[in-house]
Amino acid sequence: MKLGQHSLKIDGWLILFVIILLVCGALNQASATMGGLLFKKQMVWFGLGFLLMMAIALSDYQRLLSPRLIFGIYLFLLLVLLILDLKHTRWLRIAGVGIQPSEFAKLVLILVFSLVLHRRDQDHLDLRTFGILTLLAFPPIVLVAAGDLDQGGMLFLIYLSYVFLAGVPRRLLIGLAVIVLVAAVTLGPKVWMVLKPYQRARVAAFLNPEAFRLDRGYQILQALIAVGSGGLTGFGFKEGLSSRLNYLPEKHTDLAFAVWAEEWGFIGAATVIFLFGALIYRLLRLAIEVREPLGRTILAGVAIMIFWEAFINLGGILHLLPVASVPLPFLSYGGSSVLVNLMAIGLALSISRKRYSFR
Amino acid sequence: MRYHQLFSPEEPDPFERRLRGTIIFIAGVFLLLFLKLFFLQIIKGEHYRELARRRSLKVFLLSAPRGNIYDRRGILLAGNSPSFALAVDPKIIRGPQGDEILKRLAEILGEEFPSLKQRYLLARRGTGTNQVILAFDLDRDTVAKIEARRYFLPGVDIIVEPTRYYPFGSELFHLVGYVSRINAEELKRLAPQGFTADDFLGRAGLEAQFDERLRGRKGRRLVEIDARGRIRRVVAEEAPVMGESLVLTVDVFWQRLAHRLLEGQAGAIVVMDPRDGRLLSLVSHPGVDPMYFVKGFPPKEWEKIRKDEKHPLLNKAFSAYPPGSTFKVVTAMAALEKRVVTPATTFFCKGYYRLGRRIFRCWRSWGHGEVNLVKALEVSCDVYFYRVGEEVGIDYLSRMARACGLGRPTGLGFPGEKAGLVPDRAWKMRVFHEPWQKGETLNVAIGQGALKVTPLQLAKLLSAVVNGGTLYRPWCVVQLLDPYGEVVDEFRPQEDGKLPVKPRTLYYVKKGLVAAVNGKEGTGRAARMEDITVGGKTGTAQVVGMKKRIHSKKLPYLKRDHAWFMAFAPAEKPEIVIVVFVEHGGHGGSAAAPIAGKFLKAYFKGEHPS
Ligand SMILES: [Zn+2]
Repeated sequence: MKLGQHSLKIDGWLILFVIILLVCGALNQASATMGGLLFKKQMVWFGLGFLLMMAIALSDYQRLLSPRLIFGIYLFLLLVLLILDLKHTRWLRIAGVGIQPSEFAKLVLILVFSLVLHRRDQDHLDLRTFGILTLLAFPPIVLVAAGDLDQGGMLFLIYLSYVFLAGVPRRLLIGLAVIVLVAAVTLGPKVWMVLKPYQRARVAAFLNPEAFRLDRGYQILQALIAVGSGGLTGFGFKEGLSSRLNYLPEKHTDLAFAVWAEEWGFIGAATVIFLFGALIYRLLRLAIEVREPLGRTILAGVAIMIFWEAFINLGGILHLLPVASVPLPFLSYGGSSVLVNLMAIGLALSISRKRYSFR
Repeated sequence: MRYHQLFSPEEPDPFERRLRGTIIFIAGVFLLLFLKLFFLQIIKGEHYRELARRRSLKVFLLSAPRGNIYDRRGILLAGNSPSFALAVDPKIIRGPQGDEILKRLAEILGEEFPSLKQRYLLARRGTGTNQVILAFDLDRDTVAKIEARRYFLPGVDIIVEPTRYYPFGSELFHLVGYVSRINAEELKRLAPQGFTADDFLGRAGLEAQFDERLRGRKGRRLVEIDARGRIRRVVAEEAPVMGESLVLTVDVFWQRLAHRLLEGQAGAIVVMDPRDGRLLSLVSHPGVDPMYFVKGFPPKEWEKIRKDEKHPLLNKAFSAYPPGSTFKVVTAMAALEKRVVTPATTFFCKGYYRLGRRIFRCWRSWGHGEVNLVKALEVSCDVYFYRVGEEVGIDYLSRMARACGLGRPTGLGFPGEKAGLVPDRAWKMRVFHEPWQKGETLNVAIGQGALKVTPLQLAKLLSAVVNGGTLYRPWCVVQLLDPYGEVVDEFRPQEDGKLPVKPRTLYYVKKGLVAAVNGKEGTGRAARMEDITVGGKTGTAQVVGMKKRIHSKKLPYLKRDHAWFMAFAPAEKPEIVIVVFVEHGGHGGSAAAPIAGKFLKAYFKGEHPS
């Protein structure tokens, strides 16, 4: 067993990928916000997030994450979400700074799920554990979805991922797939009718953006033109046509990647996609290497969270998925998103330091 | 015990197996993303580059005309007129070339270049990336000049937008309300709902109450613009939908008359149909010309309005004031209902009433002699009501006042309507931490003290007294029409409870009110008419407590009494109720009753006050 020097070492690959992504994010915000106030704010968030990440990385996560603390945070989150729902807002204002608790909900859910799976450590998911996961997942999902459907869907994906990660027996898996298929065929059209017009419009605009050029389709078309016109090498830093002429809506938040792809071309865009892939791969590799059950479950959760965030955002911009309003980690503007993702990486770093040690 | 030791290296544990599966799945997804990116940028790159070059599509929002407001005869009270605004594109107006264009504009507008530039920079900060509106309400000359020099003014555009206008100016200010431009803070809050910097919001009166219905739906226009920012062609358009229009119960003729009757004074007139609670007129004087809010106030004008001691911005029709003797109607009903007196019971008024060591004076220092209920209402004898008030007690009296609709908003639904105040033991304890004093009951019984009511509440109350006891919620909108004139919504009278009194009680109170106008010693004789029987009650509310009665005319304006008069006619079958309130007007009988008299004469006989 290797104890000693190794246990203090921070995983070099992980931190390298994150730093490059942060540099890309900073360059992108400098262009998308034209170096204005928002850019300066984002840089402050980056700095703050980085410090927080390092602090968490150097701490002992096993001591930090006591079950009592995790459930305390979980209950506090529910309370905050409930209050915000009653006030019809997504934003918590603290000393003039807006915080989005729905972003933090992702990390809290990961911790709670990991704790539950760790406590009921089994090869496969039994019904009781499944029940507990579901019972813990739904209050925050419903509360978040009430104000922000897309973020609610995000939490739901994390929950689903955890269920699969815990191991659904193969027979059950096949059974579920059959049920979902049958339900989709029989109930699908009915659900379609029940959906609100704007929700339908989102799907319809995805299928045929040309026909919806005034609505959501406008966003999709402009994003496609921005990405596509980037070509191999792009227009260059701060030179993007779509971004400069304001054809791109939400260019510093949801569509930040379109700005990036337009200005840095295939070379830059592929690099960012590669970096996300590498980051997620590295996190999952570490999850395999780490033997401590709570730690590796958290690592897997962090990987899965970043995966869904990246996939939903990139898939929407590249027209593989309907557009959802979800920020891309490190590249999109938003303090809460930056903090949550960097805190999650910090946690992963802290866990990875212990991969060969046991207590 | 050690988790990993349970498995041999060849056979990974199930969790690890699932992690490996996850890696494969995610790798597949990333491959897909990568391939799609390759497809878009490398394979279709040239296609999209071409699109980007050609493309110059932009969505503009088209503001929707606000719904109209009509009086009951269909006369327009609030409508729209087109107005021209000067819009510039901040993407084109920038740098030295932008300054050049601004200089030319400054010349046309007759403005100094530095001040225009400053205004432009300020406006640009608020709107961000969209069009910046530099000037509103351009006259035709300026528009023509700009159109003629269009070629030398790239990035400059004249936009036509519907603008609110109010044909009757200040006369309907407090009823119709006004709209004004959205401010930066509201814009931040409302932007997700599609509001933009050039939108208007309803701020007061009906404009505020029905803002959402009046507002309509914005249209959108997709246009192609060339590299210099000029519109080349319209690609697609969705026309704006005009908001819904309101048809009121109010008659602009009576509204203007009431407004004129208050000329030179501060006050309110509420005219109501007692049969169903509809408002024929709701006036608060003075008003403000709502166009100032639409187009912006000249600073001087704003200063004048802010400092005016007649408070033109305050809607006095539903602000709360002490009711004075008009409240004796409530005290009289409470006395009869609690059987403290019968209509035949008489008391002797010698000009004052003694309670313990305190002396409570009648307004007529030499007294009224023997008075019964009807006589007491006629001459407004304070001593009679001190006496019955003392016997009724504050608990019963305050309950009766609340049952008459006092102490809570009437339900008209305008923003800013006051609830008034009905004091009782609990209130005294809560606010002053002291027990209720018996003397205070006496003050309340004649409508003084902490008691506060609004003119609208009194109209609702008097309507109930004369229509047989039904409290109707005041209302002033009959219909909502869609842009094609079809009725979308229709409003009906709404009952708001019944007065908890017997018909006999109402009979005697009404008799007293008729006597107050027609009797030899009636306090409201100024509202009397030849062939139509009017009933009513005066009220004089002290503003400052004074030892001796001093004639109001000798006091400074802000210390003078408030004058009230409420009336109904014809007494046999009332079809109109009017409440006149004159702030700091002095005596109810001499300041408020003549106004009601003039209104009733015009209403029933078409006599126009000179
Ligand atoms: Zn008397």
